[in-house]
This record gives sequence, C-alpha cells and structure tokens, in this order.
Amino acid sequence: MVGFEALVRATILGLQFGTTLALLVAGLTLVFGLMDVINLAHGSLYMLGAYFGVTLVDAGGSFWLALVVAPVAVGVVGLLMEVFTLRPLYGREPLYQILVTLGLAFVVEESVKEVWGTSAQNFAAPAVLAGSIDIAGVTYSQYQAFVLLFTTVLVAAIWVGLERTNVGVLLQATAHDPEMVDALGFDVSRVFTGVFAVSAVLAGLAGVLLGPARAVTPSMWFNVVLLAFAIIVIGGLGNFRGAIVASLLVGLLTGYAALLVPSYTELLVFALMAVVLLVRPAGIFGTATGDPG
Amino acid sequence: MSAHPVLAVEGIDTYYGRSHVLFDLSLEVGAGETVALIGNNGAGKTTTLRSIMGLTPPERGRILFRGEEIQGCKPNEIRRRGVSLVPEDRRIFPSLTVAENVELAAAAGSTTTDVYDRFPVLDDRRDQRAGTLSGGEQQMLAIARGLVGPPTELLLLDEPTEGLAPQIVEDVSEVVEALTDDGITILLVEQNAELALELADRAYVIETGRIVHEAGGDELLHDPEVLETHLGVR
Repeated sequence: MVGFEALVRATILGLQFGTTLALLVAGLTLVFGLMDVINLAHGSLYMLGAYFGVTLVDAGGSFWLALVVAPVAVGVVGLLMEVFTLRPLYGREPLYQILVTLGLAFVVEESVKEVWGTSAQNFAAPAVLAGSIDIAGVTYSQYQAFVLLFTTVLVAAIWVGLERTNVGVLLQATAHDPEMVDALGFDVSRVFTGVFAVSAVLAGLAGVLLGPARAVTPSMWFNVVLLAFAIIVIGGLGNFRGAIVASLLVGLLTGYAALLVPSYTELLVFALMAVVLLVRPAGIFGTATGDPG
Repeated sequence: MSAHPVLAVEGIDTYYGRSHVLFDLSLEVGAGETVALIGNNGAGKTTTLRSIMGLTPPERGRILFRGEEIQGCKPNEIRRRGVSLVPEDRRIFPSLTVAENVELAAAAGSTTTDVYDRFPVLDDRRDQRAGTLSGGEQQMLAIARGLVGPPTELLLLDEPTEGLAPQIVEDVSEVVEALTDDGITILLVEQNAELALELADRAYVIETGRIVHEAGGDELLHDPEVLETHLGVR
C-alpha cells in the first residue's frame, strides 16, 4: 500500500521533473512552431549543457557560474548550428532538416566522447543546497526544491513573455505568417536565429539543472529527445501552451510511475502519447491549422 | 522633382519553380501617381507585386525604387526603403488584436501616423481579435498596417476590394482616394477593372504575364475595345 507521504513526494518530484522538461520542450516547440524545424539535435544541446556544467564545476567554478555560463555557451553552439546548417535549408522539404539535425546529434555525441570520454560523469549540487527541506510533512533535498521553484518561475516568465510582450507578439505573428512579417520590415532570418539560440540556451539550462540529479553520459541526448518529442505530440505540435501542460502531465506521470510501476515509466509516457494520438490526433491543444497557441 | 520615377520595373521575368509567369514585364509609377494594373485572373498581377516586394524575386530584369536597384533585396529591406505591400487576402494576424497588428507593424519603423484617425472603425475595435473582424474591417486593418512602420512612399495594393460587399467597396475606394490626396504613390492591382480605372491616373493591362496596353485611366475606361478584348467587360 502506497502511503500519503510517498504520493506527496511523487507529486513534488513529478512536478519538478515536469517543469524542467517544460524548459527543455519550450525551446523545441518554439523552433517547430516558428520555423517548422524538427530539431533532433535538441537533446544534444541539453547534453552539452550538462557537460559544460560538469567542466565548469570541475575547473573550480561554482555551480552558479555554471548555471549562467554553460547555457550561454550552448546558445552560441545553437546559433552556429542554425546559421551554418539550417539556414541554407529553409524552404526545402522537412526531411532535409530532420536528416541534418539527426546528423548533428551524432556529430555532437562523437565529439563529446572524444572530449569527455565514454564513462558517466557527475557533478554535485551546490553546497548551499545540500541540505533538506520539509514540504507538507515530507522531506526533500533543497536542490530539488530549488529546481522546482527556479524552473516554475522561468517557464511562467517565458509564458508571460510570449503572451504579453512585443517580442511575444512578433513571435506569434512569425509563427502564423513569416513571409508577411518579413514584408512588414522585420528580418525574419534573424528572428529564426534568435529563437533557435534561445531554444539552445533553455536546453542547456535544463542540462545543467538535471546534471546533479542524473548521470551525464554521451548517450543521454537520445532518451531526452524521444521524451521531448512525445511531449510536443501530446501537447499539440508547435503549440507552446500544449507543450507546457504536456510537460507537467508527463512529469507527474513519471513521478507516479516511478513510485507504483518503476519498470514501466517510459512505456506509460509513450502509451499516453498513443492514446492522445488516437483520441485527438492534433494533440491536446493542437488544431488542424497548427495554431501556435 | 526627382529625375527618377518612384518605381521602374524594367523587363522582368519571374518564375514559380519552372513555371514562367512574367515575361519581359516593364512598368513605371511616378511620384504621387495612382497606377492600376488590371487583368484577368491568373494574368500575373499578384506576381508582379510579389516580384517588386522581393517575395518572388525576378530571375531577369531590374526593379528600381527611386532610381536604386532593389531586385536583389530581401522583403524587409525593401519595406524599410519605403515600399509597402497590402497583400491579397489581407493576411492580417488573426490571433492578435487590432492594436497588436498595428503596433507590430509600427515597431518595424518610426512612422507614428495615428492610423486610428484615418480608420475610426479600427479605433472602436482595438482590443478585438483581428480574425473576428468583418471582411471590410480586416481590409482597413491591412491598409492601416501598411501605412505604419517605415515611412511609406509606395503602396502596393493587391485586390483591396476582393470579396467585399458593394457598400464596403465604396468605403475602401474612399480610403484609396484619401491616400492619393495625401500624396502617397500607389500601384493598385484590381480585378474590378472599372473601379480600378476610376481610381487610377494611368493603367496597365496585363495578359498572361505580359503588359499588352498602357493608357490613362479615363482613356481605358472609355475604350470599349480594350475593356471587351482584355478584360471581358461589356
């Protein structure tokens, strides 16, 4: 029999994983919604965030420094990826972008093996968050509570930014009709580059945040990219609102599954995706026209 | 007065993929003029405007705006130079409000023209989602959007009265006349040839991607042969 305490713990851990996934998936869904690019290298950017974090912490830098510098470095990698590999392919069949980003994912994996080796690496949570905290009578690590709070605030800020700021309006318009936005005087290719770079920063940030909780390995990108795509399919392709809600759903599902049926955690996520596809093929928030939400 | 026309299109050939759409097409628009480009469906009117705006660049020929070549420029560069397109089907952003549509366009430049004075109907609907406006209101919004942002010297109007009720067509015509009175140079594409010729100083007739006739608007309007031969108007 599962106790109340265990359920509360699974809920909090599920939410923490969900908000971190939301950070990861927010960028992926923005890139798809605006640029129609299925970025299979997104998991690699997440992985690079974790490795850059490990390196910075090992080199004597603090976790906090890594939390700022590593995502920015991943953002630069993302910017270069977009400018040199994706930009020449805009307007072509989606298959070209799928193949290029898949190729990039393997290039990054092999490069990581060359630089950091094949064995798993870990980096510790910052000492200031090494203790525990009591929530609803249940004890958690302070680091997990920090990640939950930090990612919740960040995802909420991104959401508000997309809904309420001029940049958000520009992105909504670009998602709807990029050609018209260009004809109004905005350089849409720069908008694309900016969005891709920010998407890389968010992926890198998720990598640093999950680094202390998970083993950092050269193959970690693969499971994450599968999970991320399952989430954007569940939420509705290219729909930001859907991606956030689906991230929380998958996070909670993962949390409860880890408690109740740990062997079937991943299976349940993809079963949820299959059910959503059967019941609502466009995803929970998706529309037939692909409204970016 | 400037030695150059505001717009000079010189012998352009434009393709969609392998399909050759415009053939050695040339036209000119002088400062302050309203010039109509009329022709039947599929004649190449919209492609001409898309070529000028850089959305479907020509493969041969030159396009000069105030004497400077623009045929290799991106649409956003052409807009910032002073050419503005009000496209066919309006292409407003339906999920944004009227105010957001206008403010977005304004953010691309410095023009602070209060479009709400010119289009009071939009003033009453600032917070309404653009997709819920009537066809006429959407057209007003599309024209308003074309007037803010970078200063507009040449307005490319593509089928502004398409699909509108007769009363609304009259309203749109009045707006075009007011813009002309304000000295804005206009290249007007219209399937409604009689309306276009009433509004225009001069007109070009386009047929299967070629200019086949050029004359004053009045002249064409009273030339039964041109109307019947080229435009099917009896």
